[in-house]
Amino acid sequence: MSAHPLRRWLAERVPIPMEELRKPLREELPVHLRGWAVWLGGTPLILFGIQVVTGILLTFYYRPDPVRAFESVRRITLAMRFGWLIRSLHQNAGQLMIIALFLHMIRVFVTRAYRRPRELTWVFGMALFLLTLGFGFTGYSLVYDSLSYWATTVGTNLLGDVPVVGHQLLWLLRGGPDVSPNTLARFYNFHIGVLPTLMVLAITAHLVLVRLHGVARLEGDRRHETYDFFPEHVLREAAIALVLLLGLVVYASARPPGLGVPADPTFTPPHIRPEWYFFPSYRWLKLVPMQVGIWTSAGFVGCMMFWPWVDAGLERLAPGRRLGTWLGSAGFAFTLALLVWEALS
Amino acid sequence: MSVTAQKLVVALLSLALVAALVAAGSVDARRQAEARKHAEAMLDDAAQPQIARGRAVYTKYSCNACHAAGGTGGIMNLNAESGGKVNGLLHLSESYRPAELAEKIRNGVPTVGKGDPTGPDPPLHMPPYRDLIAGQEMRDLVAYLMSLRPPPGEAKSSAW
Repeated sequence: MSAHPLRRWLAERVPIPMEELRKPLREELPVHLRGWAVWLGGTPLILFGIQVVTGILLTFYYRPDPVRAFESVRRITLAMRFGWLIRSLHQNAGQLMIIALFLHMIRVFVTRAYRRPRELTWVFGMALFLLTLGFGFTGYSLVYDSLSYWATTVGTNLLGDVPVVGHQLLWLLRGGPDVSPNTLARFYNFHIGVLPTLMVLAITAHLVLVRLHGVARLEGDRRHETYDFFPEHVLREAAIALVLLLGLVVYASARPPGLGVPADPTFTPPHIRPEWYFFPSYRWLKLVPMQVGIWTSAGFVGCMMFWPWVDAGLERLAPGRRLGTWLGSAGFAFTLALLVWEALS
Repeated sequence: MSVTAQKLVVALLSLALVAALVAAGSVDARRQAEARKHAEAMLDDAAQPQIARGRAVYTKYSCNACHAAGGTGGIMNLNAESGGKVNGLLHLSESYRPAELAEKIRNGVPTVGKGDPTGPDPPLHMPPYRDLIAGQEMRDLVAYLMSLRPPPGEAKSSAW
């Protein structure tokens, strides 16, 4: 026992069982994770990390009040050293995170990795996806240019149509009947306080469950080889993180973020549209009567949230027919079609 | 892929990221220079409101369409004596008094001199602005044009 005196001093005062802490590093992962699907699970976490760091930097200069919000974004983008880069990284990491989460969900869906006993892992994963959409919605509104202001107005208006609790939800988000200075303050609070807290809790729950159950093996994969989490898997994740950062920095340098027109509550721009990831629900709500749209959207989200049990029910109904996979694939194709339709219109 | 190869990949990617950040540094330097220039223009405008108004008049009547933003010139005007281009306006204060310049704007330049006497007439000429710009707008525009200066070290222009 010839440990370094400093280490001995520290171990005496902070008696952490280091051997216990090292155990997760030695976790053995199924060999299929070496394949293409490996990056889908870790990527959203890496992108979330990028957003936490860049988001903290942005809060140093962003001013969440209607008079100064747009000006502070302008200052960050045009005047601050590397402000344009930080803003671009934050914005585009968010967009990539939604894509990465969606692809990860498709992978889990197709391989049916959500089945018993991993149902709650899926539920927390869905919660992460919804929270990420919440980040997108609140973050977009903070720019406070004309389009984001009106997207916020229209988006929150929809909540007012939700049966029974719509009025309360509208007030909760807006801080009053209309989009006002209270709204921006609340969206800022949600974006940097409420949502990150919920996100960290959901990520922790998701990762703890993944660790407790172990990574699901692929159906029909008879290979029993494994590889170590450390250093092989960690090195892969590091390479992915570097590729993502590299891509984001190169993109930001080639196409630095621009600025729209400052928000003007008295002027409605001709083409109000939400960000692309809300295109499917936006198009759907334009296609059907409002109440039908709201109920079906809520039903779709609820169905996705509790999909492991829905799928199990369908399996009991028609054993071996994989009704769930067919139904899910049809739902995915329909969502994609709505997105493309709205994008092209 | 072996662990050693993966370490090599991570090291190479780290170097590439550093290179990308250095390149981003040059983008940042360029944007900073533009921002400083913009801030200086804003300060000038605040200090000299008449020049700021004159700049607005210059844009309002599309003077910038031929003489370019900031009066730097450079729009092609085939066989014009000013080098086949519309002349710049950066030396007006050396050649004109304000009243003379206002008169020139009112009358326009109906005939542009040829670079090559045997060549074609230059297609562009300046129309008279007598019926369009007058009073305070003319005073503001002249003040703005007289404030234009070439960058340090540039030789005096032969025209305008």
